Amino acid sequence: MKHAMTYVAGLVPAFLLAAGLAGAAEMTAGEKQLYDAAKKEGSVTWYVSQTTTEFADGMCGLFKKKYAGVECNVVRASGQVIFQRLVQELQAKAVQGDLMSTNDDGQMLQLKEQGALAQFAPENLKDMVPELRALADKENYWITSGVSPLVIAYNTKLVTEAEAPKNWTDLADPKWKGQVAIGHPSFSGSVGLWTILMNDLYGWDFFTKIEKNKPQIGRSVADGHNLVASGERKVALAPLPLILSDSILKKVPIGVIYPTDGALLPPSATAIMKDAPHPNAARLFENFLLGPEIAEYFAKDYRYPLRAGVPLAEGMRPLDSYKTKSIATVDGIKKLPEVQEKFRDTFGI
Amino acid sequence: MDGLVLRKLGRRFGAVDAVLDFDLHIKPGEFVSLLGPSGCGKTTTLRMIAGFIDPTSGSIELDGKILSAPSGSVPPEKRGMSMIFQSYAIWPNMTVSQNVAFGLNLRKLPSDEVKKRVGAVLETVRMSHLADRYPAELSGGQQQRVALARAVVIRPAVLLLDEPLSNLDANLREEMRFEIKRMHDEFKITSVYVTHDQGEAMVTSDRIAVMNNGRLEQIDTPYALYSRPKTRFVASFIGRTNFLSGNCGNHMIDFAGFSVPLAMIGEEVTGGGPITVSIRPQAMKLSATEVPRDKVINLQGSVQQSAFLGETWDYVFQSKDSGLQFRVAAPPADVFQVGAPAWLQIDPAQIVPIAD
Amino acid sequence: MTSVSHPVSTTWSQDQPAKVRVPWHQRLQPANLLWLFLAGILVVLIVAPMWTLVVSSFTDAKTGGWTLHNYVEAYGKERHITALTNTLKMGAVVVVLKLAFGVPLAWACTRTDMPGRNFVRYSVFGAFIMPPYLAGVGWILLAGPNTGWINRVWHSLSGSTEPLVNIFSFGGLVLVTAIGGFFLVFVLVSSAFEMINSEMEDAANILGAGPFKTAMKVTFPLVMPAIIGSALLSFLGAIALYGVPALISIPARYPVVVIQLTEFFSFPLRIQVAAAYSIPLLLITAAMLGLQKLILRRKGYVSVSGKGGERRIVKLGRWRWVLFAYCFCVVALSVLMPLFVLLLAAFSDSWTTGFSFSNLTLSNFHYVLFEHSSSQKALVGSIGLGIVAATVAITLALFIAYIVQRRLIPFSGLLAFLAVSPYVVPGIVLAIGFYAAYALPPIALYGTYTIMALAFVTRFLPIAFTTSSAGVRSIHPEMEEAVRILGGGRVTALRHVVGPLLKRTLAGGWLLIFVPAAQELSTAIFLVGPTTRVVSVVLLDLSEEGELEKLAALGSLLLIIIVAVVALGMRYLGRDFMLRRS
Repeated sequence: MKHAMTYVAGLVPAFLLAAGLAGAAEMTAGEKQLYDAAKKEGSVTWYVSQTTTEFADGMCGLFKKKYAGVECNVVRASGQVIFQRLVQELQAKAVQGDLMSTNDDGQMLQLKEQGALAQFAPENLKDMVPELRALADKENYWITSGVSPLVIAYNTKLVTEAEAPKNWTDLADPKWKGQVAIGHPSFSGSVGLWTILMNDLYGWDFFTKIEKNKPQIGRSVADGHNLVASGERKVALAPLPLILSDSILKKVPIGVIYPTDGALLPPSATAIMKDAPHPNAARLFENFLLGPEIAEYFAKDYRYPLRAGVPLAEGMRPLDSYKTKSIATVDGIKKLPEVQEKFRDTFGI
Repeated sequence: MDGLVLRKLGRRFGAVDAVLDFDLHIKPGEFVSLLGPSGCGKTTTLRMIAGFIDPTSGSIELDGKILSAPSGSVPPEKRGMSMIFQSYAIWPNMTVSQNVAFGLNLRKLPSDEVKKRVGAVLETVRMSHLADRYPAELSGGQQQRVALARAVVIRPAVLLLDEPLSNLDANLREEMRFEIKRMHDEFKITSVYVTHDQGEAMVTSDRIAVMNNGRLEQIDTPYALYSRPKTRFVASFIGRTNFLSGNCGNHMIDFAGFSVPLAMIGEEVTGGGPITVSIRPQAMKLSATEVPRDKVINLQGSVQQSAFLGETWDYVFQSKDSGLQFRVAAPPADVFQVGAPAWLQIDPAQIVPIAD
Repeated sequence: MTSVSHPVSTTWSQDQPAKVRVPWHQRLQPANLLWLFLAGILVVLIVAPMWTLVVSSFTDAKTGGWTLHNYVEAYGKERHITALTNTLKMGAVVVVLKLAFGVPLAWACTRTDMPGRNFVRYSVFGAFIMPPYLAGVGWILLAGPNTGWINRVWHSLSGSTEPLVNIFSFGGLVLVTAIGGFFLVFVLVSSAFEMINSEMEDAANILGAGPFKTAMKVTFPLVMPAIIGSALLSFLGAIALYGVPALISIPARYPVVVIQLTEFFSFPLRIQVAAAYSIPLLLITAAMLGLQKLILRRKGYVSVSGKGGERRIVKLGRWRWVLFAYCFCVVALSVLMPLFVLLLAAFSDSWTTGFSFSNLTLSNFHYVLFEHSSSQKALVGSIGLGIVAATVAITLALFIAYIVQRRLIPFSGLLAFLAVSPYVVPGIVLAIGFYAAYALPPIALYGTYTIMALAFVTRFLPIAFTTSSAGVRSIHPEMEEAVRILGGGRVTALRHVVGPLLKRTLAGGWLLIFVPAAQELSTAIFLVGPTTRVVSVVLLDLSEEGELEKLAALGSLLLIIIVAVVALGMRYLGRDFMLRRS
């Protein structure tokens, strides 16, 4: 009996080991190869404006758990700030970020034209939602790493659903005077695209009207969300996942309006830098972004999973169930400087 | 040449010559004072000897080795000298014995040797009982003793003293003069002492170099300096004196109202024409009646002013014939009323011709 | 002519050797090389970055040729000019506010019998420890137009829906900027008050002037140089501050120069234009310095000098409580209120819900300490950079102050000028200079701690130099001469005598640098790399995400560490070391 116990006790670690091996065995040959090379590089540095720091830290945590021995450093800032940093590094010929994720794919196009990006097609591309995959670069200089529709957020304590704005132009209604919050197109990538969209739809007049409502202008697109959540402002331009996760998980009094004239669908893009100090770790990470762990993580946080077949979180509407609009990458680059300049002129900042 | 030699030493600050053409030879073991009013260049000279200031002309050499020249100087730390500063410059962050041991430690002496020497020198300056005190806990005089001990313990080639007593009160100063003299007699260190106080210089020095306006006026023993000053400046700076103008003939010097044969004057005088002499108040004597004596000049007149200084009387005597006034020192017993007739006797041997 | 044998004639002075030279090896003092080396360091730290800044402002980014185009681009837009005039306007108002805060407090604490003088002193000291951007966050919590606590109280009391106060306004911007910097006015003016001998005031009293007249005609004119000097520094500090405008001026829609500079640093990156745009800041500074000199000279002010002597305390009677009320208001605005809400927010689940026990949590601290990807490292980085910058700056400054005070090399006055010159270079401009000079190849220090440490050392060198210089001046040169004549070199003198004697002064200076260096934002903002982020930058990023509770928690941690270091310093140095001018 005693012997048997010892035997069983000895079996447990052996079993665990086997399970671990099985986990490793799930890796494809290409993945294994990248992992080994990445372990030699030791770490990956990820510049991200696509998500909040907390969320990005979570993604990094999952990566480290799956690929032990590869450190993951998150550097999070708003889209333009991250981009500025990268441009500084390119000019300094001292690239430190391995890969970058942004909500403004126009930046990717610019970097691609500068020859700053590396071409890479991760294995997991094949499992992606085809519509999302189609938003990425055809030559695989960047992948689509998420979609966070920009919608209208309102504070459910201060505003009833009936009172809430129904579409973007409602934000210019004088009844929201002193109660609107928006981001700044010179700081936030997705706000830049939104500014282009509004200008395309309604002309600059939209912004002169908004200006009369004295909106609070934040830097990041998340700013508006936080202002509404805290009740500092009643309505704001905000990314959908933030609103859903805060309202459902944290019971924050914030609600979503899917604007009838179309939520902005800025594809988030992730690319590997050509001079990345840890190229293999970067590839491993990019592939990981499209893997099942992240898809689940996204779904749990009320984001649209990138992999086909992963169910949406409860309370989320499928992307095709409401009206969305997006800005073509080329248009984005072409129009951004102009609207940034106009925005500064109109809002004086 | 052995000893400390200053040759044609000069230092110019801007357009001003602080020291000019200064020649001095200090023999090994000799104690020489640089005496003069403030601004005469004595401190500049001392600091040049120390190496803190480079000369702009001339040179300084020690035992035949050149230390300073306009082209460059041996830095102070390589001169093997030591110095006592006006502010004492006792380091407040070190105890008495650490202060004294500092120079020895720099010379990398074994620690028991350092201990022995520090103990001995503190004994000499009577500071042994305060060896572990910090300077802030010492009186001015005690700090001075520490400075002295610190300076002599390294057995320097030359000891420089920069007005070391000027911050002490009168009694302590008196005491420390003799202390310094005693230390010099004990260690026989070649010493250069800067002071503006003739009393200090007289007590301590083998020879005194009197400086004025950056130049050396006269260098002599204290006695010679007093009794035979060579310039008007020296005569008036050291003690009090009477200046008399006269005319020098072939055999006689003629003053207003009297004449003195050249042969009777203590100094040899050549040439002729106008001459100035110095007569110390002590070289004269007042009496109520005429006391004709050989080789003594007798003048009739009266006492104009009197002041009692304790150890002497200070009278002003006016000659009846010429109206010349003399200051005369007299012992306390020789009492004269103001206005009283008197006779003045002058010892011709103590009439000193001076350069103007 | 009568000739008397010449008194100084000697026989041996004639046979002087033709050429008198001391052999070079005997003249050699190795320390002299050190002085030159230090002068070289100053060139690296100050001259090169500033020179690069000026040169690159005239350099064509593409061709590398000479151009004025950068200036055209920098000033060709009305908006850019507006930012410049806005900055000047803001600076001017901030100066007035800082003086209104600092001068009465300084007077009250040094010359009156006001109650609670020590309380006021320590609170003002708290204003020094609290970085401006944290005070800014505190004020956003207090005076956000809709959810700020002041406004919520106002809403519930008055039933109004209009905000009582709005931090996102010009008023808010200048208030927060002023409360972050009036400490300097307080310190400089306090020490000037302490230097005035009461005899001067007594003289006026004897001649029949009452206390008020005496204060106006004698006391204040005597501290005028200190007031003017601190006004100048206040102005410079205000126009160069980055954190507060980043938090407030964007929502307040009041563009200022530093915000405009960040635009030049965004895509497309235009360092040359940024350089051109920052030149006026330098010129304004130079002009202000010139003005200060002119004013002080024309009025023939004698610098307040001499020992403090006996200082009479003004008896205020009933007015002492009025004065205390005023001081309390200033202290509450600047320290107590923002600090209180900041701490409360740090321990709150959500700062908007207000205070309740269910709302209390430690999760924010847990998050910033253990979960947030860079804050732990940033804390280490900030404190480390603070320590390195303070130590290097003080050491360097001690040597330079020594060289200057003892005139060890020709043109040592120039060294002094160089050492204090960073004072007038706004931190953000300094960062641009450093970026232009050292971030790019061939030196390529981008993203290293080295470039940040170098920039921080430069930024705080003036404080270090002023402190060390005053210290060295207080040491009688004979202290070192005594070392040298006994056989020690200058370095020995520095190590065994000057250094130990200045220990307290230097340690005080060290803390005066450590505190702002550990919080520095303006210089860091363009120089941080992904692995070299400091707390100030992380805080700014958190503010961008609206994570004010977490921000408050991280900010509190930074404050706690700094306070701990300062408290250690106070134990060692005595309580009032920073309120005293060494």
